[in-house]
Amino acid sequence: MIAVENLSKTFTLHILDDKRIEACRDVSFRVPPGGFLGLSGPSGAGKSTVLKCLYRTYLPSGGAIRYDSAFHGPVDLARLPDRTVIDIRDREMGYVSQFLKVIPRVSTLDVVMEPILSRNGVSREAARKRSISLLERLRIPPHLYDAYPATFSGGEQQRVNIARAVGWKPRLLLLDEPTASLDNDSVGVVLEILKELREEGTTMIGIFHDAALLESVTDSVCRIC
Amino acid sequence: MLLHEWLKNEAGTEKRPGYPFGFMDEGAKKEIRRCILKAVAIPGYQVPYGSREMPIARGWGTGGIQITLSLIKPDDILKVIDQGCDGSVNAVNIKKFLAEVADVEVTNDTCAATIIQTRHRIPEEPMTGRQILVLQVPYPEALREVEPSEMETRRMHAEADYSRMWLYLYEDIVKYGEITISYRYPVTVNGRYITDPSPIPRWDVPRLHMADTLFLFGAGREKRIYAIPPHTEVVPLEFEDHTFRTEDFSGKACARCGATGTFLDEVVDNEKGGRSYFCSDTGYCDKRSTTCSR
Amino acid sequence: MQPLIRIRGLSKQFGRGCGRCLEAAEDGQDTNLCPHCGTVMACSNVSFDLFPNEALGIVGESGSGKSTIVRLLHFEWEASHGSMELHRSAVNGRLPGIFAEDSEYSGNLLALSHFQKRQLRNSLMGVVYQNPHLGLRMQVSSGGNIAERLLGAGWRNIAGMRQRSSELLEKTEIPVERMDEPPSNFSGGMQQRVQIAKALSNNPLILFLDEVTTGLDLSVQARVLDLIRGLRSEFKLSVLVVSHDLGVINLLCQRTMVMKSGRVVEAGLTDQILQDPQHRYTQLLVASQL
Repeated sequence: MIAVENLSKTFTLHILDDKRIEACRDVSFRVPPGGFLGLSGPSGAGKSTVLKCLYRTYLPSGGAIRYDSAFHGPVDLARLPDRTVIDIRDREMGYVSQFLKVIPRVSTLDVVMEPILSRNGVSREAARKRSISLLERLRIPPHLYDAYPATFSGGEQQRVNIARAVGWKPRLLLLDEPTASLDNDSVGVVLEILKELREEGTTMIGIFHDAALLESVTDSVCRIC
Repeated sequence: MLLHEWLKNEAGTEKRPGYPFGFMDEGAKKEIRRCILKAVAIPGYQVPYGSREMPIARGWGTGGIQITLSLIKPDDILKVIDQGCDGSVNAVNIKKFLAEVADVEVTNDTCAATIIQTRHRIPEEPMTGRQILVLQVPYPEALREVEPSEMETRRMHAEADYSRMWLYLYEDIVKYGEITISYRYPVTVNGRYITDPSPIPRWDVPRLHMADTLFLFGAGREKRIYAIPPHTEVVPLEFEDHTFRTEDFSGKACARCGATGTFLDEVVDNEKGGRSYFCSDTGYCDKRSTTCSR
Repeated sequence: MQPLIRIRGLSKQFGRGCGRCLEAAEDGQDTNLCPHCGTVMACSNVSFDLFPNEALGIVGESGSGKSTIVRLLHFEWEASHGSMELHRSAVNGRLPGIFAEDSEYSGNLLALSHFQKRQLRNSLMGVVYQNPHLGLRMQVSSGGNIAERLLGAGWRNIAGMRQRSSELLEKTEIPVERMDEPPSNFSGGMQQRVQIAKALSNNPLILFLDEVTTGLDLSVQARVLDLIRGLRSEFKLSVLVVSHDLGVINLLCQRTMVMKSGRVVEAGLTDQILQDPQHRYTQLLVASQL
């Protein structure tokens, strides 16, 4: 499904006199469809960089990212035009970071419903039901559904973030420390949800700060150093 | 026969030495006739022209006079009215001047006249294709109400960009429940130009539509000539749910001739405190008074 | 999917120009003034595509040329060079004169007559300015401001226009009872929303937003931006968002162009521009964000 070959990323900081910072070098791995790959390694090794290159938030400096897109066929994510990347992000590829991107005046329920409505083409009612059941499982109390997430605690925001990311059932999900600010019980719920998503066919690549967690959840691990 | 030969034959010796026939020189008349032809060819479009000096002040009908003088021939029969009346000071003044310099007969009878010069009214009796109505125009620009700049109004006409005029009417309806323009009611001529029909009352506006006669408009101070040719569509600006309507004289009649279908002037009797109504078109009123029994 | 409009080589200069203007204002020169003739290159050689149903951001500082782009594409200023082509599907059979027989794209719209440009503008485009005085007639009622576009498009039914104005005012969260008040009575945020209502009145395909929230209070800004987000997805508009505020661009746009001294120095996905800026100036801009 996705095969990364010799991925490298170097930042050139022009405003610091063209200083070069190497974020990751020669990273290679393969993930079969429905698989779950973990990225491990010391802090600063480049794990997040790899994920961001896959999502194209970073422009890879070298290497290839071969992906089997459902709508565009086999492509190299590193070389796609912007519009195709947007399309893939819209229809197949999701990304969950540690932080919820807060949009003013959009309620918690709307945050979770929006991607489902625009990407899955289901009715408003169906999207609502799915969103509510996710939020319930993630133990967001109902009285917060119409509240704005900007004032929630870190943990609550993160749980909303996860609901948003998984609600529309992407084909490929990239996870960057999704459980970092969650308590043990919440972590357990999240892992269950991810497992169900995998059973429905989603492929995943994730970074978890807890090494044991990483080992238990993923099929294989790629060490970045 | 060329015109100058015909003039010599008909007019005989010069009436007023030093002045050409019709007061203006032939060059001036030629220019004005060409502008008239252009105006007729582009109905409703204001044609700029070189407005000549006239022996009355600007703002008193010099535009109408120049058109009349450019067209008049010694065998024409002239009628001049002001607000419908043959006898008002200004009408008489202009009539005397025109009759003098063009050596023409004058009349009060609309049907007998070949050229009628008018200020702010159209005669009640429908005119034929053999007659011409020359209207005196103070402000030829219909869009001046919404746009003070001449450059801008010319562009608006050129590009048929009339939304601001329509907006003005919309705002009237929103503020007052109806369009409050009473005279100078804007019309669309031949489906293209928005034109100012001069300060005629609303009553007269429908007469411009598909008429048999030629309407010529002259603004001497503003130096513009425009025309509504015979059988031209002239539609007042209106909305589907707020249509154009004329003044309402129902229940009123002329105190002199009894007419109920004419535009009436309201006269207040300051001593006795009553109101009476009289036909604005005095020529028509005279005709009716002498022919019908009271 | 094909772009809705294709912009190629768009340039606007103020001054008589000389043969060496373009080379003098090249990337790296850090100025838009030609040293040989003093001509100001407000924007030089700008090319991009705008697709249906997308928001494209143009970010830059004062004098970068971003507002110039809006003025040129909205047919307010004459371009010095360049072309703007429209996809056939945008006009649905109207305005056939601008399309050659079998071509998918129109000819250069910038070369059309004023009359044709105005027709195009009235039927396809809406614009919202930073200063409401530019986009609204302050002495005309708000409903009248909205109706002006409809009147220009040939609407002649008062009740129908008022109905449409009410709908749009509701959509932009302005109390309908204030429809007959002039915008001079309204607050800044409300005036902006009247502008938005007016811009949407003729169902445009393209919306130009020129610094629409600059100068507004924060809460008002949030409301206006949220409104724009919602309207864009509801009406499937293509929006060109010009701003110097990276936060606004980040919120509204998926693709962004960065401009400096009249030239496009970088273009890409918004999150890539903000997190992995390539060009020196973009890096400076991102590092300067509060």
